[in-house]
Amino acid sequence: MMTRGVGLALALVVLQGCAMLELRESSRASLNAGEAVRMDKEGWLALPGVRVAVAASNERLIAVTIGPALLVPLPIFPLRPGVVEPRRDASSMWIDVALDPEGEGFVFDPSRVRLRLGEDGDLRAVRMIGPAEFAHLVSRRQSGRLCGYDPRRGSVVGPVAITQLSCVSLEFDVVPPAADTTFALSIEGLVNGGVPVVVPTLAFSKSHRWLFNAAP
Amino acid sequence: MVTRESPIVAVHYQDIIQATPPTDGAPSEPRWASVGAPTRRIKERFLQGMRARLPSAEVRNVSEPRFAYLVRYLIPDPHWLKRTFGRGLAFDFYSPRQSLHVGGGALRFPMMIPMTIHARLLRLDDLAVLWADSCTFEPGPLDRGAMTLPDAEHTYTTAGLDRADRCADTLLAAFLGPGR
Repeated sequence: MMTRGVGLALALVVLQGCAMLELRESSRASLNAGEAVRMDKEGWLALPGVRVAVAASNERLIAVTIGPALLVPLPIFPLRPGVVEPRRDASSMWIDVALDPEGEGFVFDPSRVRLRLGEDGDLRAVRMIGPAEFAHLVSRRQSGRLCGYDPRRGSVVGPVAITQLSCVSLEFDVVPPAADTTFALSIEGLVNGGVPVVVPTLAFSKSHRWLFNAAP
Repeated sequence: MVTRESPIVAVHYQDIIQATPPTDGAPSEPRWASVGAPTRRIKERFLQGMRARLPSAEVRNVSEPRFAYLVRYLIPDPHWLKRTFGRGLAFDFYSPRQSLHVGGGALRFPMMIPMTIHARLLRLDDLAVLWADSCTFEPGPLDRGAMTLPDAEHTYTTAGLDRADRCADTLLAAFLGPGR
């Protein structure tokens, strides 16, 4: 009888899958104290006529637990993060810049974005892809990135008109820093009808997030 | 109504997408693509027919495709058109996309599922839908090797595009009503 019960429980686990709880750390943008502009909970800066959000792609899985998801998910068994997400040493860092303009007058020049990172000083992007679709909510939560991708659009080489909610991915020739390394991003080159839009410098610092997933 | 109010814009939504995120490595071959009806072509045929029958209607044709941010009922959220164009009227042309496997740059399977295109006329002030209709056509097999081109039109055969054109004509006839 007990064997049958254990077998049934195992079958239910197999049928219904498992639950996985992940702890991820990354660098999250914030404003320096004293800025007149506000950043909302989703990370959008509300500027005159446009909203701006950024995300750095240095996210790392630091802890993960797994367990059965019968009636109540119980992700209680720890796993090595490397089992879930093999570590890949990236040689460059991507930063996504999302823009939500009002009207048709905005132009963005990604070559005027600067990454300030320790002794590496001010870095310009070596590659820029977009404007692409802003990733949908589920994708943003899963990947931590803002851009949906379409490689046919290729690289941006100069100023581009931004007439709708869009996203540009910038590649910087630097090894992605650990989340506890602070760095800053300055966005110049955003213009509305010829008038520059002042975007405050964004400071990145360590941030954590929990992610709950079904693990089939 | 299109001859009385202005400005009027006509937009189409992006009809082909490959989803391969950029990485630090070499660009990888796309594994799948998401393809819809050729929205730009259908929009332009609709506008061409409308100009011929309603010469006084001035409609600005927006060439850059829009990204389709969907809301309930899986149609594009008109809020984004209002945010860009402010006021006036807007025609929009949207086609739900179908995901297809791509192998070695060529489609593995011909597209067999009918394509649908949804057209609307919206009043941007209050986002009222003044007119909406849809049509469906058989796309037939897609041309090989065209998945990296800028819009879905290049993936269709001539016969498939003819059927898409007839779909646009059906929409225009429905919009103009009998006698036009």
